[in-house]
Amino acid sequence: MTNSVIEIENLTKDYGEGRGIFGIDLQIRKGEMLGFAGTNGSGKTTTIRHIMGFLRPTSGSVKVDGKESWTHSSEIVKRIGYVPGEIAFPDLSTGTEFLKSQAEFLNVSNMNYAEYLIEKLQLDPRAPLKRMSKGMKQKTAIVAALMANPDIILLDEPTTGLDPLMRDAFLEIINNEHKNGKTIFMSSHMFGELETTCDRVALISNGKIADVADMNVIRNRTEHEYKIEFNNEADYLKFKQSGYAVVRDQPQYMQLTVSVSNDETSELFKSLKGKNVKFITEAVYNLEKHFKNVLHEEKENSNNVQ
Amino acid sequence: MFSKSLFKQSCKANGLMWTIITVAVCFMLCCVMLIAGNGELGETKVAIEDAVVQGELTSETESRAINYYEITDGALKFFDTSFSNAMADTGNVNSSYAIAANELGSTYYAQLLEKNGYSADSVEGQELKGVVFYAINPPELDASGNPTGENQFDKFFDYESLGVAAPDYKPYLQTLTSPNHEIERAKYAMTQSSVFLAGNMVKQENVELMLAQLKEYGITQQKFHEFGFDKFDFVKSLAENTIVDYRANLQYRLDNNPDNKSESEIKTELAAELSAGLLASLPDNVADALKEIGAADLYGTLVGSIFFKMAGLLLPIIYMIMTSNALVAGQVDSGSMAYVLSSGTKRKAVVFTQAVFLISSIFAMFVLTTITSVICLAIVDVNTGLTYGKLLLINLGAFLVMFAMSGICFLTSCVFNRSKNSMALGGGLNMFFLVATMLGLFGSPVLPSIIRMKALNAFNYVSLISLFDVVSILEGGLAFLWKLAILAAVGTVCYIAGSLRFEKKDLPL
Repeated sequence: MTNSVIEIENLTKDYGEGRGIFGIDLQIRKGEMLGFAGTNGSGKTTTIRHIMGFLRPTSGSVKVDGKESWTHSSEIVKRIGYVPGEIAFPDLSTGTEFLKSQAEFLNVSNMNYAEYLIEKLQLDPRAPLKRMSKGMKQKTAIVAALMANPDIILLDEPTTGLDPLMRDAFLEIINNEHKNGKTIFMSSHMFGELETTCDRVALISNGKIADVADMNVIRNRTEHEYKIEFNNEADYLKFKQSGYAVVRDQPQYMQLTVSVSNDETSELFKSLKGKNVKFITEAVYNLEKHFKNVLHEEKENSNNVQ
Repeated sequence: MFSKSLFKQSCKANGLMWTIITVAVCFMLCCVMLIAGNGELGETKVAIEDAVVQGELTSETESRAINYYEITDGALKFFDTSFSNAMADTGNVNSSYAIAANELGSTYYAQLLEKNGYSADSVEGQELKGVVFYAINPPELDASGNPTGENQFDKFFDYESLGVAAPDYKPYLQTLTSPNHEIERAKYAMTQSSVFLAGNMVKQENVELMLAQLKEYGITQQKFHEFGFDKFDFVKSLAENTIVDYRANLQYRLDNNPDNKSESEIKTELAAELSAGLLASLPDNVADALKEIGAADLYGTLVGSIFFKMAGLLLPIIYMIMTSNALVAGQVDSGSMAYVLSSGTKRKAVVFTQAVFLISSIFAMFVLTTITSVICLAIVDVNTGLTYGKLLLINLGAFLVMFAMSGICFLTSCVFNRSKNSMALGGGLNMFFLVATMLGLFGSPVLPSIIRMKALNAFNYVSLISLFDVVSILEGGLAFLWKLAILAAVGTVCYIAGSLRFEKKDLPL
């Protein structure tokens, strides 16, 4: 607990009519990269705004480095690089002018890092701000947030609007920052990018934290699921009785989904030998699936309660 | 407390608009002040003013003519009695004449002096002496008291150029006992008092004195000449006609006197009627209206009440509404405020810097209009009560109005997170004030009563701009001071309230 950089305790912001965030508890450890997943309107941005101290919590608290965000906003934001979800720049003419103005605000005199970021993101900041595409604006905002080399990086859906190549470039930059020991908190509604980069991913749904998944646990599962379809019924039935844990059985297609622990994998292939197999695929257990399960269970639980 | 970077950013963001608006306002101000100053501003006003001045001059002359005639007539009557008495004693015409003239001075003249409360040495006393003795034209005495053979008024006027003879009463003394003498004496009194009045009025130094006094009503030497008051014949016949009227009327009224008024009462009444000025002879409200137009300082009204209180405020108000919105609410609405706040700039510093920018940009705008208006006033040559001091006060007043109104806009900009709401309330309120002032102008005493719509005056009570009391400034009163103090207070309160609200509210950034 002592090495938590951001501590969110029982954070509630009630906008009425069930909108808002309710009782959020979340700890972000130093040097950790935490993903923040959730559908649109689930409360990701509200949570991030509380961390920045822009919103006053209805109850509960957010502390950054042990300081209350709302009351010490101007101190804590100096340690945070923030990329807002909605990109709107001050009324200045070009990206260069904006970045210079931002450097002045941040007391950054050495622009080397900013130039490195600009090169990495292939950004031409001389373009007028008004004429920039969404992606260019996003890149400019990222440069502005990172150029002061802050300890904590707070990103609100940073990759929306970036093309896949640019997203990779961006994620590489974030990964580098992470390797340098920065604490990163990134929200996204794309599970894929969180999966590959984050240490942990929190799922927020309807203003509440539904689950916090440890990516190491998900990546290093001891069991894998395989879906196998057979060309003739005899093989299908024979395999069904060979003692594997069947997760799903679809006799009409002669399909079986079985769960196999990692050390049994070679065993599985031996028992398939000589059988007429149409195809075999691994049903990957990923974040999306995990969260679907979590939400599904939650729904069932609430139905049972009713 | 103050963020230099933010101030710089605000300058860059709003500088172009500021420049355009300021140039436009100064250009408009130049046009108004120069064109109105060199053009024929208010020809009607000038015509009415001329008519009023001419009428007043005429009535003043008429009143003097009657007054002079009464005094001269009285003096001659007194002289006749004294002369008859002296003739009975001495039998010598010349010595009797001197004795009578002496008595006239010690009794009649002394009584008049006392009655009017003049001292013998004063200008009025000297004038009275002239009126009393002019018709008698008593013999001049040297230092030892002996007659020099000449008479006192023989060289008083340049009689040759005036085309009249020096006064000589002696011929009339021959007929002292005849019944016609009274009529002849009255005629003589009429002629001599008219000559004395006209001769005095057309004297070079008196014409110059009058011109100097009339200058403030826009009367030039040329106009004065057109009026005719520097022409001897004109003034003389004007005086004579008045006296003829007076005498005829007096006789009639004395004969038909149903109320049994005393003679002096009738005389006063008649003199007042005959010499009534142009304005007194019109119905009261028309006379008041004409007087008002004549007295109106059109140029001061145009620059003060119409430009600085209305037309000239429109563009600065537009600038102020847009800028105050862009400085706070606009940045919160779009989200760009996030970059400023996430740099560690305190909210207090943000709001303070933005307020300083707004106030100083408006102040700079009015510094430039002040310079422009002072230059324009120096260029134009116009008959107005507008001085440099008053012009500075008007500019200061306009700035304070803008300060108070920008305070309101700044407050709404700090309170609302949506631009459109901040614009609607702050901007709408200020535009309402401006429109109310425009409507109110048509009902305000600034306009001559003939074209005033009194009902519209109600709008003056609902507009903040009414606290900018241009009329009081132009008239040199002090009422504008506390009103400007209220404006300053309103602005300060709004700015402070807005800042406090911004520091404590939720920001959707």
